[in-house]
Amino acid sequence: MRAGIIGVSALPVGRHEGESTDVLAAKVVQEAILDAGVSKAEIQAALTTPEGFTVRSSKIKAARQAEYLGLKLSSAAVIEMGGASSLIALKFLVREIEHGAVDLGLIYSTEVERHQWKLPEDLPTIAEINALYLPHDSLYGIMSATPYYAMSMQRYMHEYGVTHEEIAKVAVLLRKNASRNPLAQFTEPITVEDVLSSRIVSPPLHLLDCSPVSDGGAAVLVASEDYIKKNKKDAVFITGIGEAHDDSHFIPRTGSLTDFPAIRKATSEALESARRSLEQVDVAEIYGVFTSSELMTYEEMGFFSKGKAAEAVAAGDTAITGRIPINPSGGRLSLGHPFYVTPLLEIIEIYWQLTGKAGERQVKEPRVGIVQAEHGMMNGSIVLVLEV
Amino acid sequence: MTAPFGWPTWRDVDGVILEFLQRLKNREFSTTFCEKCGSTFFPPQSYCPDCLSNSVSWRKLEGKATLYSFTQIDRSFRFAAPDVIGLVEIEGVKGRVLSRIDAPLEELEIGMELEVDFLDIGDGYFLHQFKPVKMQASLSANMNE
Repeated sequence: MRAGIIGVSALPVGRHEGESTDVLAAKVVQEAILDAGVSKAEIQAALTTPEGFTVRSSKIKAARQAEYLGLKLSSAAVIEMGGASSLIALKFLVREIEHGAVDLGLIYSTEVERHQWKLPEDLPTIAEINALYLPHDSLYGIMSATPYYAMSMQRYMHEYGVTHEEIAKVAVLLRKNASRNPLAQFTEPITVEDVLSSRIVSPPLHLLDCSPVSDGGAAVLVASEDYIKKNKKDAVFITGIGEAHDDSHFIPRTGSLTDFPAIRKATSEALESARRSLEQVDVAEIYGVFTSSELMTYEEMGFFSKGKAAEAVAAGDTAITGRIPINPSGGRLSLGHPFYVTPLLEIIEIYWQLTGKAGERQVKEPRVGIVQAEHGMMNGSIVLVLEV
Repeated sequence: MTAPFGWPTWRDVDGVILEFLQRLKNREFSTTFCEKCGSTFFPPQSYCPDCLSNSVSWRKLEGKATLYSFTQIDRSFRFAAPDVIGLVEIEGVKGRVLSRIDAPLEELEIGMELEVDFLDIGDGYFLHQFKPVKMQASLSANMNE
């Protein structure tokens, strides 16, 4: 039994400070229900993610929000696996549908981050919530993943002789794509010079090499093929899934910091289960949180050989009109990056692309799309193949 | 010994981590190795990540240390910002050491040899940090070999 996406909804990405994640959830769920043309009472499953990355998570959130939304469910949970959470949630829903346990289910995620911190009073809270590579990072004052990605970029430049100037071009392209996306957080055009002269965050990463910490929300309704046929719905089918995790968390014990085997494995598994080759993919949305990791993801997925992605971006291969359009949404760098919501925004972009609803950034008649998400420093990855 | 400032309170602070801190206090940089499969790994754990045996013992880390990669954190709260952070590889050890590097960013190069050092962070705690081996010192060391 195949599963297909029949309705979606996404909020503009940016700041939703002061808003409630419950209210935002009601908004996206209501919009997705209208988009799919279903009734709320038909929804049997609702999987979601925590409220945000920089805020405390509440317990039994799936039940509390089901009450708020008035949903009577046979399958409900909060799924947490870092940046891959909402895509892994979607995988579980697809499995429920494939097993015949659910006919119509919902994945939603709403996220409002904390953007203002007071120093030094908030330090213990920051350490408690944000330290990642425990216990050895917080002792040195490391409170985000950025320094790890910076060290990976340092190795990438060292091992493959790629310059920052070459890497920066992907940020310029993503900004151009975002200028055509009404949901995007950053739409003003930028140049390579702007990237290189932006504030240094963690060398060699500059501010415009990094995605922002954003708020956002999205919902995706997934139905069984029987339901889709019976109710005559248009759908984008999930035809392949691959998931892989290394035995590492941020810093691999062995192997290069430029080597991400989980991405390779998840991509090949997803393509194999869809009986597709990478050459048949018409459009991709990938989880690139930094310019360097974006390019390395292109390479690990197999779109380009190692060290060659920057060159391909400069040649226009990944542009909306290019050989393989990647992140037509503007990607994490310019669409914005609400951590838990991001994989749903990726799925929704591919849904719109495959159904011809992507407006000014529409790729020409795509039939096969691919979506990738990761957690840690790409130590784990999940990949979905979507088709009309 | 309680956990130092900056340590998330919700996380388990197990005996091995406290022992690691105690050894740093005694100016000893060490990790655990597995008596069963022989693996020496970092960070130290009470169970071997390779074979899940809990027959682990402590070993002082004395192998050659080299700089694998490095960066700077401009908003370091613990030390004077900016602060240099690096990943150090130690011969014979599985796992890289995340550590403060006691040198200006401009003077660092991937692959350079480092030596361990200890940093007093107050309240009776010490952290490990690394600094480049002085060129002259390493030249004379080579000549003595």
